[in-house]
Amino acid sequence: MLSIASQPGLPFQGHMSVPPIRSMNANGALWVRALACASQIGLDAEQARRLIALNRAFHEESIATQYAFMDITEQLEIKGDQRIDAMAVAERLPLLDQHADLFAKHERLAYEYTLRGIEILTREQVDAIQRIWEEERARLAQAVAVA
Amino acid sequence: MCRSNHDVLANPGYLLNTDVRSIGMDGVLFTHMLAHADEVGLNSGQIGDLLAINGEYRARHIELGLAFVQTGAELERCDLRTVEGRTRAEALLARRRELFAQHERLFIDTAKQADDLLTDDQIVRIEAVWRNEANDMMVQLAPALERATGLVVEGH
Repeated sequence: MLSIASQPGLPFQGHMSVPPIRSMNANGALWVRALACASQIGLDAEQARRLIALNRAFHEESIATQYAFMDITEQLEIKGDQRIDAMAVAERLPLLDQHADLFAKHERLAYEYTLRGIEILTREQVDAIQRIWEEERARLAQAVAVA
Repeated sequence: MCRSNHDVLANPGYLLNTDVRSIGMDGVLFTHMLAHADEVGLNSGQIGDLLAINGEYRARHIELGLAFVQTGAELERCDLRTVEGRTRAEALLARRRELFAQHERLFIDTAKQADDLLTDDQIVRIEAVWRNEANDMMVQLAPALERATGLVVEGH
């Protein structure tokens, strides 16, 4: 019942609210499930080494994009008692465009590095990771449903 | 725009926050201004108008948010091992950029709508309320920030 007043503050009921408009990029860490379940999916040492290297490159590119994004976010702010008039909005339109481009770049990094990881793995290994993820998700959904 | 409720920038530590998300609030605007209505000198008409603008923002935010979630769910279902899956994923990524841009534009346009209702004096007052709170918060957080970064926060 508390959620009628403060839904965003309640993490377990929060799944019923609209999630934020946020990049799907995993904040610098890809293939963690594959690496954590290495023996289950039959990952060999060379594959693990390549996934870790991929993850590091992904992390570096993601962070650089996040810094650029943050810089634009700060420029979008309307400082002090400046009015938010038509001119203030117009001045920010190119910044909003750059912001959206960086958002798209951030999401694309996750997509492109996922494709590169898939090339390292066999079809069976990708299927196995997918199954593990689906099982985890089902357990999570069940726990949330009970809550 | 902090006076329109700017959760991405309102925290004193926001320069450390590099989350890639829309500057648009998650559905609730002007709560800060309304909570300080007396100090800001808002009249009943202004309060009613701010609530109405907030309602319109929230409705549009939910529409965009749901569309965004749907694209994410569909993206998750794309089999990236197939040409069809990758083609669909590319289209969904482009759609998500568009929804993101619409959401940020909605926020800035809504902030302007609210700004149009206020006098210069009210803007100065709400800014002072926000600035004092931000400064107080900074003082409270400074010790933790110093411990975390090893840097000394000026003025603390």
